[in-house]
Amino acid sequence: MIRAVGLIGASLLATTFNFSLFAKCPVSDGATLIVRAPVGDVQVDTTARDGVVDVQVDSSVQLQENCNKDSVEFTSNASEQDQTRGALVWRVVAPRNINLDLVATSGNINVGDVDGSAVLRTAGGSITAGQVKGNAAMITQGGFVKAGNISGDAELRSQGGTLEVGDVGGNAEFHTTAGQIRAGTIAGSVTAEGGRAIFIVKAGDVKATTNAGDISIGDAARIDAKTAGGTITSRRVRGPFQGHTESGDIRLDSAAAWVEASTGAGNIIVHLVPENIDGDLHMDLQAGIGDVTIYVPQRLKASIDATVQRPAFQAQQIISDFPMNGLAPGRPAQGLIPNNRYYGPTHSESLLNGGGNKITLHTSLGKITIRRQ
Amino acid sequence: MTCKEYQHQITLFLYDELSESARFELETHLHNCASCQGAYESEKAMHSVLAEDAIGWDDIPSDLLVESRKALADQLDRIEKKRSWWRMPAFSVVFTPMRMLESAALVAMGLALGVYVSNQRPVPVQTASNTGQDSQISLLRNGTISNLQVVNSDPVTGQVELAGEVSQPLRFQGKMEDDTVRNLLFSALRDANNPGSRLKAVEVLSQKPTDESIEEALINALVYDDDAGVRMRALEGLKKFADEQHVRAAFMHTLQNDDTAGIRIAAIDALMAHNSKDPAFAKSLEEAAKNDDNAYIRSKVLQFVGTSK
Repeated sequence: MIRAVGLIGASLLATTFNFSLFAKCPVSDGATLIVRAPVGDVQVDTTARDGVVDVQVDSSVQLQENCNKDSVEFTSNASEQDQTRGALVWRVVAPRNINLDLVATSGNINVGDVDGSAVLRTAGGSITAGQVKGNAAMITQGGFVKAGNISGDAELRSQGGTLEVGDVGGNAEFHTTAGQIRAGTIAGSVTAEGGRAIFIVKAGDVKATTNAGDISIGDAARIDAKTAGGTITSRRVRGPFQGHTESGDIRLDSAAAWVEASTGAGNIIVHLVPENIDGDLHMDLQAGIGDVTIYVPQRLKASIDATVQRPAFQAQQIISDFPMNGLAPGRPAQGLIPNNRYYGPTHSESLLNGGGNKITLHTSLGKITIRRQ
Repeated sequence: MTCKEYQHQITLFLYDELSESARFELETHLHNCASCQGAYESEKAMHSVLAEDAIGWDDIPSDLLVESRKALADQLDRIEKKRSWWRMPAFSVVFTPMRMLESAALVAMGLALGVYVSNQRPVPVQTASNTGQDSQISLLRNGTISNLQVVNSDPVTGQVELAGEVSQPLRFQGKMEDDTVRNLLFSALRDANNPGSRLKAVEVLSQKPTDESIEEALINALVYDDDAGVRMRALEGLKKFADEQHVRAAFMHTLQNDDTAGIRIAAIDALMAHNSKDPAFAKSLEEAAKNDDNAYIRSKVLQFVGTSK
């Protein structure tokens, strides 16, 4: 009888309160902290000083730990149904000189600074991380990813959210289906696939693609950029540039090597500032509807071929600081127009300094301007 | 073919829109079926009345039929793409497939009849004398002319009438309350070829989505736009209104139908953040998300349901 009353009391107690369960493992420098959280958010505070990892979950879920010399692992057999009482949070306190390998099947991940690497994965929540001294992979099917500086390589992926990261010491890979990408200085190469705008302050080789939105790259060794609708701009590209937008401007404030750019509708403006005047400095700039403007140095050796496919009525089509063969004479602003100006494309050629780098400038409708730098 | 099906073909027959074989088949049937013959006579009489009223319709713009067909084709495309949209309980009363088709047809017919009956031109004919030379030159210098057609040409007088489309650079400044600004943005939202334009329009509209028409445009973008980035931005613009009935309904639709898990996740987060834990709403949320393949979504719904009891 007493035993039965005790059991009933215990079960009443259990249904009334959520027990906080704890687990603890000693951990050595450079070890890996593994957390597999089938439910709930994971928060890792990396300010522990005593070489021990503490884990606490505010629920009745049973924690399982596996403590080894090189790794400590925490998991639970909790199921989705365990969340009907509300949000679960895994609170982990660990020293910062470890590697992180965290999986939150259905929650957010939030970690502080770590000296090792960080692999953070969730099926849907957002991921926030401080500075990571090693490599980092942060992958979510849904929310945003925000990280501080990453000293090694970085891989950030989300199916929907925006990706933001500070500086990256190695190479970087960013993929998001519907979000923006914002990154600081990336020492290595970058592959960025975004659903919206892409902003990168500085990088090595950049390959950037977005379905909709602008691409802005401050400074890069090389750029290959494509957007289905938006502008592409770069303050400085130290090597070759390839860019295409279905609709939008392309503007390069300082291009050091060859440039190939096209836009369905928009203007193209390129300032050629060669690092090596004897290098490959060819240009192929194609605008559907829009103006093409280039600024080239006086001593550039180039063979310029400029075409306006459908010249606009009464407008000057090709304007050049250099003498151009076949350049149409100045047009009267009003009055009788020579008939032959409207039958075909306007086409001009010029050899600068005896010719050399092929510069092809084309617009279906718009004007072409060639300026001395 | 049943009599009903034959009777549906009578209108097409009267407008000479039937194929040769269908026409032959219908004529044969009409000879043998008194009921259909009666329907034919009745329709023919109606057709004659309409034909009498059509006197003075000679100046029907040549592109009207093309425009009407395009409008209808666009609607049908949308219906095809978002077949599941009208299955949503909150909208099922309004958007059944048949009603959408009927609406599309009515829109096209209304457009046509409106133009015919009022004898209005969609594009007023400008003449060299009624437009200043400067504005003509400016239009031609800055604009792009496409699909230019010669509507009329009189070799004796040298008079010609041209029709086509002119697009020209646009810069417009105004407040969001200004109808022109709104219409320009709504127009950008319909630019099927330029997701960047649509995204920018959504971004601007999201700045002030308090107006009903703007909210409606954003809902439209959330539900119909092909581009995930545009849908996501529209959702972000609307999420603070996720407690309003129609916005909530659109978010529920997104939760059930959007292919991109990230957008569904944003929808569930917004729904949970902005709606009270009402058991009835929790139940519908549970129903909407119970089969979602994303663990986060299922988990969030369980939390919402569990804590709303």
